[in-house]
Amino acid sequence: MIITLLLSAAFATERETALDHAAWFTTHQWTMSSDNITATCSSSYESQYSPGTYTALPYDWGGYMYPDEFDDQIDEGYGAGSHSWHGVLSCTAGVDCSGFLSRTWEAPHNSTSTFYNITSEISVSSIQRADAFNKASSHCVLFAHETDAGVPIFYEAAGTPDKVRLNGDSGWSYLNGYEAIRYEDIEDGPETGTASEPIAITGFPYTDLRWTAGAASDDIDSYSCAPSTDESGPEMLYTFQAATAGTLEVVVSDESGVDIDVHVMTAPSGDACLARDDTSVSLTVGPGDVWLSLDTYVGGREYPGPYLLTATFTGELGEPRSDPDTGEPAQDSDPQGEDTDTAAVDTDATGDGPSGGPGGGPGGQDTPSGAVSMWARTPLEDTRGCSAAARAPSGPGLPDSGWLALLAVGAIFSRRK
Amino acid sequence: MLLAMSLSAAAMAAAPVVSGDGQLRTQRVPLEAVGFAHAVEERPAMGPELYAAGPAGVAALYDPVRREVVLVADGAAPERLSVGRLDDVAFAGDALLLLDESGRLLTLMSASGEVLDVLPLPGLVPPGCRLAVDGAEVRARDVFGNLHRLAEVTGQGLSEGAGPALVENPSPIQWDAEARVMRFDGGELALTDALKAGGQWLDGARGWLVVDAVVGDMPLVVERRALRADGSMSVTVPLAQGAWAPGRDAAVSPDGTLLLLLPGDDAFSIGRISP
Repeated sequence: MIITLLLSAAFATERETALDHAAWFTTHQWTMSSDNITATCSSSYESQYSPGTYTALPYDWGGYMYPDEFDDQIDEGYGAGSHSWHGVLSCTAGVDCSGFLSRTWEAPHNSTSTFYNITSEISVSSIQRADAFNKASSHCVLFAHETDAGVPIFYEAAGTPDKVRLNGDSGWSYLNGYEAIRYEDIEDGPETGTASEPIAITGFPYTDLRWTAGAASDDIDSYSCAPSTDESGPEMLYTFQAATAGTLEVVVSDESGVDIDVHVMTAPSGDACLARDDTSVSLTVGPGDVWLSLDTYVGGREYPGPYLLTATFTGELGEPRSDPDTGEPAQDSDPQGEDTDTAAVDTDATGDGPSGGPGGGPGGQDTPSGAVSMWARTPLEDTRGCSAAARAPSGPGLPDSGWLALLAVGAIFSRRK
Repeated sequence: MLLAMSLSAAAMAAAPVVSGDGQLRTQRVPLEAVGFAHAVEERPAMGPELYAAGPAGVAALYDPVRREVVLVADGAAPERLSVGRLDDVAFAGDALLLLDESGRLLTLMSASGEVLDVLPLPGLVPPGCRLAVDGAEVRARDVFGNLHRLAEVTGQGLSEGAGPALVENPSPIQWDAEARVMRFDGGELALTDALKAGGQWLDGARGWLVVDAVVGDMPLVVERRALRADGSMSVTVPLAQGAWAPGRDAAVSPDGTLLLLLPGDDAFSIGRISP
């Protein structure tokens, strides 16, 4: 029993990790050449994509791979994406809906008809991020968030528009007839986004959809850029290493009733603040360590919640540092950054946002920055040579006993003024 | 004003049910006029989706199979424009704006299919955005309804946009799950039996919003209604019962006409509901 429990714990996937994977699929940049228009195993195949650079993995019927595996296959001349009318092909690269969902959960490859083997049905009322909606033999999506307006946001590998995407406008009607499911090995797990476990930015343009509500870090309450602004709510911390100086632009989008402010720092400390704003900053940083804090503004009450972070950087990105002995991310022995000396300088942040406080300023120039730990992705299972059976999924379908009769409940829509 | 309707019976109907001042006109289009891929294991059917509505109620559909924009003017035969892969379409006057999020390009195209200009997307446009056009200003509306600077239409071309990088959602909708009430622009909508509900303005225009209500679970049973924000009209939108369920099926033209894409077995219809 103990061994079983330990194994289960060892293989469980954290919700944040699943969503990190989903974002990776959605924002991954790749380049295809003329070699990827055709495929070696089918004379009739022609990719929907043309040579160029793209964001997000293409839809590939039966595909099941992570983005780095996809890159390898594209380099080897596999066709970029496929559809069912191309037939069952082993020489194309990308993911379909269930391959994508299986990968985000770090689960074995299942189809929409076999997910019942590794999931349980749940009520839509209890849906949490990194749960899913599934319709056997048809389609599945990874649930990410429900907006203030009640609209579901989900990730999916879809035939239209032919890629992995973040879907925030199809609404609940898109999920009519689907059932809510929960992966049996999903767990809340420790949160990332702390000074010791920051979220690593590994490429630009960078996008992240995340939450400060319940964030593990609640250590920074004010910043030298705007010392009178109360940022005592929870924050999420990001970091990257700038190999050269460049312009960093960051925009944070949040909902009404939520106020997340962006701060750029040289270390995970409010004293190392270079610039901050309610919605956007633009400044020159590097070379050296750069930190972002997405912090919850407090004005009478806390305003935590979801945010959408986007960032670009014109300089060169440095390699994430890792422990030379283990290959694991380096542990931060000095999260306040008092003992090392990298710095980012020359700020010109934009003006003040509604949450108050002056934008930008020289605060933090030449501030020493600490050696930081860098979050790294779990080593990936090699799945090349995906079997024909896996690429042509079939299954017994959901057991009837798992379904309740369709009941049209009498809803009353009424509008009052 | 209090408007109370039982949704369930109407929601099972094959055609929209219009309450209030509106009139429904439908235009049938055979499936042969567009690309269509029947459902297969692991993939629902692929057919055209309604991305935008233009002047005089012209519908801009995207056909993902042939990778064409199909323009369906009221009472006219469909016209097809080859566009390649894309994520969204919007009208800028009579011209079309095409958003290719993957290729990070914004294209201005004439209604006859001539490419007028192409602009690289700024790196700060997040995924999952839709186009929002206000006069010459083109913005990308993100999943929270906030607007990101994208471009300006200048004559027959595009230029980089001006103004703030981000404009907060000018008219947020709020769903109070505890009270089962949706609030918008001073109005309220009571959804007493909804397990979940979500509301969205159509194409950013405040005249119409579309509301989805989850009224059954395991599997989900969803009912959809388009409403005039002033309460003058309500349309029950039938959800596809077959294998083809467009991800986008509603848009509003500049004159306030609601357009609906209504899938069928061997054809689909464009429904137009004028205020």
